[in-house]
Amino acid sequence: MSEPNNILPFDTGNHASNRLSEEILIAWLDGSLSPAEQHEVEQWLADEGMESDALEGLRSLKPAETKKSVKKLNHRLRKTLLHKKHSRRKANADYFTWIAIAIVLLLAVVAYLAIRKTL
Amino acid sequence: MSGNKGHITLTDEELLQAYRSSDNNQWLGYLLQRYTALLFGVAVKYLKDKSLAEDAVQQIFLKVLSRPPVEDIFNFKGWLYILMRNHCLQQLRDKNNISGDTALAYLPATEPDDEEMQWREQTLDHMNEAMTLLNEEQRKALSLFYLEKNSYEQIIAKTGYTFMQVKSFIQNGKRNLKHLLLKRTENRS
Repeated sequence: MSEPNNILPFDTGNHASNRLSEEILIAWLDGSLSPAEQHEVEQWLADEGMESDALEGLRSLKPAETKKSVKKLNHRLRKTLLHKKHSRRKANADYFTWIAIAIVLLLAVVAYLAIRKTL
Repeated sequence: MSGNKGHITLTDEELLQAYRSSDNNQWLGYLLQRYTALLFGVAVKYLKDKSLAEDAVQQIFLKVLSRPPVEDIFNFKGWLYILMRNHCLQQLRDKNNISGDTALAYLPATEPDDEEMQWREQTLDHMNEAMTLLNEEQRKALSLFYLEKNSYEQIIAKTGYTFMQVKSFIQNGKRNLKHLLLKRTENRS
């Protein structure tokens, strides 16, 4: 039996990283971790915070449902980012179009004035 | 967003920094994608509905992309968690008109500070004694989890408790233990 140090009623030092990775989270939901690994993940449950809430919430769904939803959300996120990128490019393109039009008009006016002067 | 894998090794803060210096939303995308599953889990816990949870996460993504975290945010994960939880609580309030007290019950404990860390070390000696003052379920759950390193599954098999009971006994046991130790320290000082 271990020393009672680990039983401290607090949340620091128990977790190898400061975030539970999606891969480990899904493996925990799938039940594919060893008891020791399960215990490691469940240290998050003993605390209050993002991981604890998430593990509790996801446990109410089938692992396949979680995977599907996460995949869907990531796909939507990528689409949103792509859309924003295109919108920005389009805005930039519009900006350059207006500058080009302004230059052409300016040249036309200058040419008109120059021709008028020579006549 | 899947081409360059260099972002995997970057910390949240480095990704945020990369976003700020380049103004490229893709860095924020990498950062958010790290938390998709966790955010979804938090939303499912509070909203108790898969579709509502998906919508809530989607809204948080849009919120972060349209109003990215400002310079002085040094804990992105904590910031994101609070954003997600508050969004869910607001939805619940809108839907059920839950009271402020109910909403307060969802608030997590605060992070420990240096003083508390110091106190923790001082109270280690009194741990076993304080354990005997807990109720049977909490003592058993804490002992099986922390001392014998059992998984929740093993604790459920050994005790017959449900998953939520194990979670609750461990969380409440930890909290009670803390109060007992604090009280003891105060009495001695």
